[in-house]
Formats: sequence, structure tokens, C-alpha cells
Amino acid sequence: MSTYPAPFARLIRELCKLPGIGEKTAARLAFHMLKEKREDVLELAESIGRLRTEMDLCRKCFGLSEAAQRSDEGGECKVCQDPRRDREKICVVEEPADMIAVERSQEYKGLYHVLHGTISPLDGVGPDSLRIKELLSRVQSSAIREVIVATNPTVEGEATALYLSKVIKPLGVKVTRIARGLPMGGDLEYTDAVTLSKAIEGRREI
Amino acid sequence: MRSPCVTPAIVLRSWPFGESDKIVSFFTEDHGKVTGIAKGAKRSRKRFVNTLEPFSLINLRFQDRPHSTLAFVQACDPIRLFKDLTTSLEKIAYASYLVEITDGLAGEREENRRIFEHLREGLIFVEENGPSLSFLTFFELRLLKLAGYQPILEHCRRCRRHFQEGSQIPWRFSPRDGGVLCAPCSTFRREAIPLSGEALDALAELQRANRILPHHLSLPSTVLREGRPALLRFIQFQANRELKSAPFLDAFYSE
Repeated sequence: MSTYPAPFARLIRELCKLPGIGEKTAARLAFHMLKEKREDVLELAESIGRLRTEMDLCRKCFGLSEAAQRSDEGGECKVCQDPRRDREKICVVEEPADMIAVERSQEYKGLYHVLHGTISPLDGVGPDSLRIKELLSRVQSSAIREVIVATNPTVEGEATALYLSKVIKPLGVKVTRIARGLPMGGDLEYTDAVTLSKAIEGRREI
Repeated sequence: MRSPCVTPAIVLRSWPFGESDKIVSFFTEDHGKVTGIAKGAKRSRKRFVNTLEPFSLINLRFQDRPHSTLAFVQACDPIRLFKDLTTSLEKIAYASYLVEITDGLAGEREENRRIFEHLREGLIFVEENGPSLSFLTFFELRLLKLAGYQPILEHCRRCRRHFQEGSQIPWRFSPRDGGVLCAPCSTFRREAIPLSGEALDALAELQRANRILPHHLSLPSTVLREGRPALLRFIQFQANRELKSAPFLDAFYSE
């Protein structure tokens, strides 16, 4: 990297810190930025800078929230503020990106709660390291009737779902787990045995 | 180009690596512990689907790479995925502990088919019979023996004096000494853990067993209370690390 001029080398070094970016890709991106219009590059730099100052976590669901919106509305994100949302349901997800994925489905109209991780015995991550206490106080202090656990179908995701069920059910609230099965356009012949068995297990009457 | 190896294996754990790859640690039947990189594992719907989760028993196909300690994982086919292990939090905690101590005590690329078989049987036991601290104690003692770290429980590690039945003075288990010490020999080992005669006898007997059946499982609570911390300390000493899954077991003391 020493063969590059200092500002160029510095940009490469910073880009290399991003996930999935190695030195070659970083250099390619840096060269691309040199060729781009000056104002476009400055806008990119400004967007990156503003990301950390203008974005924060919603104080209620811990999803992504705009900081300006937070100061006006008491720290809640758009979803938590929306009066048209079904306030009797909470969908629990692992990360903010999962919340966005569920929103994209346009099927779910309730509220969210982001745990920021999963219970993982092998990594020493227990319930206290996640936003579970906050979820329990939300469930206890509002009119929630159903908690939908939408953690990933991994060992850690299952462990988290089982724990949530164990602590929420005694509060008299229904706990459900999102279904698992075949993707749209999929083919039974090429589906793995576990997915197929889960799909059969979760079948429903038509 | 080295030829690929195909062997049954149990997934010990996996870590995300980059955008779509995973680093995975396996305990294989033919090559001992193998750590490899599974390229595109997070997105793969063919080569790795559902097979890289911890506890999965699979057929692993891998190839060693020149100048790298990480093998190249080519494909995995399921043999038994232990689906019922993930139906209870307690089973997940127990299975996690089994794979973590195996990972900690087994050396990289040290073939040991008996450890592979022991882990496989351990996971089957937990899946079919549920959590049991007595079984866990048996698993730990046998694993230590198979890995070459068998603690000396029948006589004092220093003076070789045999434990007298009915003795009222507790002996002490010293992880650093690799076994128990009689009362005089343990004078300067204050960190050693006291073990009553009952606990010592029960652990020594369990250590001699090659198999354990569900209906034989009922170690008295005093044995578990004294024996489990001693074994945990010994395993952590040998593995040279804290076991992260151990605190989870305390939450599910099922006996």
C-alpha cells in the first residue's frame, strides 16, 4: 500500500475495515471515486458522516430510528409512532436488518422488538446480554396479546425462541414462532430433509 | 493437488467469515478435529444447507490447502441432524457443553475414533433421554480418559496412599496435580477442592464404566454437588480456557 499517495492509501485503509472488502476491492473503489464527479464523492462522504449523527436506536423497539425524529417524538421510530399499527402484536427479531426484511413482506402490521443478538451457550451470550428485559417490560405494561418470535432457524435462534416462550407464556400472552418450509418457486425434489420435515410438520388445512 | 477426504464428522461450532463464508470446526471420525473454511456457506442451498449447525452429524468432504491450517470444506451431507436437541433449552445447553469440552480437550488433527464415538453417543443420549447431570459427569470422566487426561481418583497423586472407606477427613481434588491428594499431601494446595469419601468412590466407579444406561443414572446429589465443580475446574485447566457454556448448565440443574 506504500506505493499509493498518502490520501489514497488512507482511504484504502479505511475501506478495508468494511465487511467483505479486501485491499484489492478497496483500491478499485478508491480509483472509482477519483474518476467520479467531485460533488458525488462529497455527497457520499457526507452521507457516511451523517449516518452516525442522524441515526439511533428507537428507545421502545431498539430498531433503527432517525435522530431528528427521536427528538420530536420522544425517541420512537416510525413504526412505533404509527397509530395504524396493530398494538396487540410484537414481532421479535434478532437484528434491525431482520425488521426491515419483515417489513418488506408487507404482511405484518404489528409492532417490533429487536433483541440485538441471540442466546448462544457456545459464545457465552445469555439472556442478560440481549434486550429481553425491555421486551418483558413492554409486554407487561401494554396491551400485547401475541409475541411472534422471528429469530433465525439456527441453534441460537431456537434457543432464544425457547427462552422467550418460557418467560413470556406465564404472563398470559400467546407466543408463536414463524413457520418454516419451502420457498415460493421451490422444488420438492431438491429440498433438504430438515426443511421438508418442518414444512410437513407445519402444514395447514386448505 | 491433494485428494479430498471424506469422513463422518460432528459440527463443533461455526463462525461467520466475511460476507458469505463460514469457518467451521468439526470432530471427524478419521482425522480428529478439523477446522476449515466453507466458502459461500451462508448462501448455499445445495452444498451446506442445514448441515453446518452445531451438533450436526454429517458426511464431510474436505481438502487440505497448501500453506494453510484451514482445510477447504467442499460439501457436507446430513447423516443425523439431531433435530430434537433443539426442542428444549436444557438440551441445547447440555449439547453445547458436550461439544465445547470435546473441542477443548481434543487436539487438531489427532485421530481418535473413540472420542468421535463417545461424542456421537453423548448427543444421542441427550436427544433421546433429556438432560442429566449424572450422564454429564460420566461423559466428562470418559472423555478425559479417552483424551489422555484421566484424573487419578483411586489413590493420592503424591504419596500413592489408597483412600480408606469410611474416612471422615475429606481428600482434595487438585487440577494442577491431575487427581486427588490425601489430607497431609494437600496441606499446601489450598485451591484444591474437597471431596468426601462418597463422592470420591462414586466418581472412581463411574470412571471405570465404559457405557452408561439411562436406568443406571442416579448419582446422589452430594456427589454431583462436590464432583461437578472439581471436574469442571480440571477440564478448564486442561483445555486452558474458560468454558462459556458451563454457566448455562447451572441454570438447568435438573436433578
